[in-house]
Amino acid sequence: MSHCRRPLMPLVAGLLLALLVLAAPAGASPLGPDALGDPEGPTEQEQEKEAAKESSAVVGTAVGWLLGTQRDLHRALTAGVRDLRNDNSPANGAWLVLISFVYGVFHAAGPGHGKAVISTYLLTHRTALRRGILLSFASSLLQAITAILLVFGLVVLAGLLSRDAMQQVATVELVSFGLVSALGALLCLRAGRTLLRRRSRGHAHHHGCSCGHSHHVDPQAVQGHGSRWPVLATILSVGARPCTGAVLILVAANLMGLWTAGILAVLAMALGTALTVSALAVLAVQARGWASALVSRRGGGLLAGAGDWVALAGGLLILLMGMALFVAALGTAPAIYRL
Amino acid sequence: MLLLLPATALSHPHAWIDLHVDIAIDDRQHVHTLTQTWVFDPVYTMLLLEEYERALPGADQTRQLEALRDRMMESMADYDHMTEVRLDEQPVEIAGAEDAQIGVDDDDALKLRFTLNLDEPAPLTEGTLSYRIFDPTYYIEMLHPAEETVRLTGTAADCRVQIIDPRPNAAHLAQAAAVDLGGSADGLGRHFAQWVEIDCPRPGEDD
Repeated sequence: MSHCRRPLMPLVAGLLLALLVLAAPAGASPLGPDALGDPEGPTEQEQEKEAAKESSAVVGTAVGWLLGTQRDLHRALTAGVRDLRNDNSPANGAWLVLISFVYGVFHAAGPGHGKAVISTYLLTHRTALRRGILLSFASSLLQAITAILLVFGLVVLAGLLSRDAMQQVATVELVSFGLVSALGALLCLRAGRTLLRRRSRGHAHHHGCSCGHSHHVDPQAVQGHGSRWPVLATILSVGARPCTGAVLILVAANLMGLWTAGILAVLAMALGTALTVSALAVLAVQARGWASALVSRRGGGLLAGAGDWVALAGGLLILLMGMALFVAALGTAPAIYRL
Repeated sequence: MLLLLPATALSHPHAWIDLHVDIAIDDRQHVHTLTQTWVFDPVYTMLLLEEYERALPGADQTRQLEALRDRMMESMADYDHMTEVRLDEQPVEIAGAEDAQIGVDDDDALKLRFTLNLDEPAPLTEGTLSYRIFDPTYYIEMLHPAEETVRLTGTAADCRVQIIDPRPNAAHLAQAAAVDLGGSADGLGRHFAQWVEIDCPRPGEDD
């Protein structure tokens, strides 16, 4: 990644950071009083109709484009499955794998909790670039494996209907969100412990000698050691939730008796996802590096503990995110009608 | 960062239905019914057929499909068959559905066709008729693939059909998540539904 040192990079990274920070209040509203607002009246419906006509926000257009592309790919995916069923030639199999890959790339470009967790973690915790990329690849691969095990276990071993098996994704989702919360809590504890330790060490120094900067703890030394488990926990919490597209492909592949094609397609999808998430991870790692360089240039030793506070905030954010998702998932009732 | 939250609720539809709607206009320019044809996507079709092969093992496919049709029509009856109709901005009551038919077409897609009756005929002479068809939970995306999929029959001279595509923006997405967190599964789908408007020349209007 030699190009990452170019002067434009901090700008891009900073923009990403700003975007993520700015996005927070907008997203917080689901938890605010608005969520329990009055049942909609006709006026709201009118507004909504008008909004549908006139909405032209840049974000809306971008999201709309993304959703449209995802929709097209989703259709291509199911059409690919159908073609494979009618003629399970290697060409059709390869086509399905290719579409799955592209689907993975695009699917990961949309919003998702996995990316939120990974980027929050990387923005708030000093991580080597290589490890950030590894994190993205490992969690994508784990998502694929979860999907394969889930479908195989539920449909083949337990004999569930494909449709019911797909509904079970919601249960696995809860596990994933629980793990995200646990990850957040553990990160908070860790950052809190480091902060406390730094403070007590600071006191000791003041009582003993006045040795200025010598008590400055190298953040790499503190966070470099034993920082394997947060990465593993992040992989686990993100990878525990299978991508619904992957589940769909596998369920269909099973119905057609084409497991090999299904697994290959899902792995290709994971590879596509990993590429996009890696790109995001690179941005997050760069943004963090840039921000911390800025801080240490300005504040020097005075802000030596800033990294730990940021880590604490990141842990807190991940904890809140996990809990919000958990509650939201619990509250989502399945449809009463069955189409 | 929490903007990314809606994503779970939104993890996009899992299936889709292509809509084809025939609207008969009588000589007084009243609309009585919307005849809808729903074309299910091939994978969702597979899932539904599996269910009925399992439920009625050994039965011929016609019988399995009929059972599927009956369940669909029954369970949608309380939800106006996913259809919302308005004359200008006034809601139009829906009486029910009849003549339900089901089949699997050459593209391996399940097709459901039924006629939705309006409670009272809607006079196109008095306003714009609009409707939208959607799964409130957005589990299934229901769209008219093209303008031609809305067909006007009868006294439809100079009548105009317009499909208004949904444009969910960031606020819509956040709002969608808010509705979801409020405990109601309803509400997500309507942000992603098309509005179809039917306009006919009205007496007293020059154009």
